[in-house]
Amino acid sequence: MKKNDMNLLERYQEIHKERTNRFSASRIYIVILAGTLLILGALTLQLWMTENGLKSDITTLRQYNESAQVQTKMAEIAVLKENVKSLDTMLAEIKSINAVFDSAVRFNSYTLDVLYSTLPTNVKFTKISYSEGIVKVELSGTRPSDFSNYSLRLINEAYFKTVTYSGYTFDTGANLYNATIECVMKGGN
Amino acid sequence: MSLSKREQFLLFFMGMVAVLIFFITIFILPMNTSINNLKTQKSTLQSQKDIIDATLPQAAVLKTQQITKVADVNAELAKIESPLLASEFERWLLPLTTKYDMRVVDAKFSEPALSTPTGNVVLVEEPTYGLKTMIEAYTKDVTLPDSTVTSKSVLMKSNYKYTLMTNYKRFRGMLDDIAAWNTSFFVTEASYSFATGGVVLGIDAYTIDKISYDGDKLYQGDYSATGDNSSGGIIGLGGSTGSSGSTGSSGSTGSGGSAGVIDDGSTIISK
Repeated sequence: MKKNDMNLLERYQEIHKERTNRFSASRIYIVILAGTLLILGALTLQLWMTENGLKSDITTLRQYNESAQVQTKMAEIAVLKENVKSLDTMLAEIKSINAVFDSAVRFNSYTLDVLYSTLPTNVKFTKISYSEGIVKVELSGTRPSDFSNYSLRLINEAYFKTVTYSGYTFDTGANLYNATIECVMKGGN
Repeated sequence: MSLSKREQFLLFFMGMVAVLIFFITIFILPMNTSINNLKTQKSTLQSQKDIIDATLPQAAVLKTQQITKVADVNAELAKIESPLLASEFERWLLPLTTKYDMRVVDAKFSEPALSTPTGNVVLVEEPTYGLKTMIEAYTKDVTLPDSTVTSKSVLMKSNYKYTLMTNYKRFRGMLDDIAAWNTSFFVTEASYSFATGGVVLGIDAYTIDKISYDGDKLYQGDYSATGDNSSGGIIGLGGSTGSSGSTGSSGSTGSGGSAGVIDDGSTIISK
C-alpha cells in the first residue's frame, strides 16, 4: 500500500494567501479612506446643523428686536429718557437761578426801619438812596458827634454787612453838619 | 498594469490628502467662518435683546419720573415771572401808585434783554497783610473771604424806572407791597428825598419762559390809574418804625381769582 504524505506546506500557503488577500494593502487603504470620508462627512453635517441652528436663532432674535411693537416702545423710551435728561438740566439751571434770587438783597421797609430806629433824635435824614446792594444815607445834625454815634449804632445793629462813615462838613448857612453814611446790605438766606 | 506597494501607498496618501483638502476647503473652513460670523451676529443680537428686555420695563418708571420732574421744574419756574411787556408790568405798579396817591412824574422802561441773574450782593474784601495773616493763623480765627451765590444761567431782564412824588410813609409802604409780590422783581434802585418828596424807583424784572402756563397771569381790561400826591405832603416820617407791611399786601401774586391789587378788578388775573 502506497503511503500518502501530508502536504502541510500547501495547506499553510493556502491559508497564508487567504489571510494576505483579506488584509491586502489596497483593502486597508479603501477602509481608511472610507472611514475618513465618513468622519469628514459627519463633521460637515454637524457644522451644517450648527450653522442652520445659528441662522434660525438669528432670525428669531432679529424678528423680536426689529418688531414694530418693540421698536415703537424703544423709541418711546428713548424720547422719555431724553426728556428726563433735559428736565434734569432745566431743573439744575432754574434751581441755580432761584438760589441767586433767594440770596439776593431785598431793599424793603425793614431796611428803612433799621435806619430810622437807630437815628439819634437830633439827626435828620436828607436823602435815603439805595442802589445795587448799597444804601446811602444823607444826614444833617447839629453836633459833630451825631454821625459817629449813628454810625456806631448801625454797626451794633449788625443788620448791614459794612457801615462806612467818611466824615462830615459844616454848612454855615444852615448852621448844620452834613454827612453821608454808606451801608452795604447783606443778602438773604 | 500592476502597482508596487510603494506606489499604492503613495497613491493612497495623495488620495487622502486630496480628500482632506477638498473637505476642509470646500466645506469645513467656509462653514467654520460662517459659524463664527453667525455667532458674532447672534451675540450682538442677543445683547440687543437683553438691552431691550431690560429697557422695556423702564417705560412706566420713566413716565412717572418725567411727570415728577415736570412738576419739579414747574414749581421752580413758578418762582420766576413769565415774560411780560412794559404795559403788563404797569398793571403791577400803577395800582400801588394809585393806592398810595403818588404822582408819577416820569417812567422809563427798558426792552427785555438776556441777562445772568444777580442778587446785588456786594462782596466786601477784607484787607489782608502779612501780620494779620500770621495773627489769624495763630488764633485760628481765619476770616473767610466774602462770597455769594452765582449762576451762569441766562434769562430775560427788563428794567422799569419811575420817578414819583410822595411822602416817606407811603414810600415805605410801597416798598413793602413790592416785597409782598414775592416774585422775580427786585428793587435795584430806590431813593427818597426828604427835601422834595421825590422818589426814584428802579425795578429789575427777571422773566423766563415756561413749560406750561398754568397759574400764569392774564393782563386784561383797562385800568385807570389815579394819584396826584394831593394828600401826601412831603416828610410824613411818622409811623415809619412800625412793623413792615403796614399797608397790607397787595396780593397781586396770589393764586386763583382776581388779584385785587386795589380791589378794582381789571388788573392782573390768575388763570
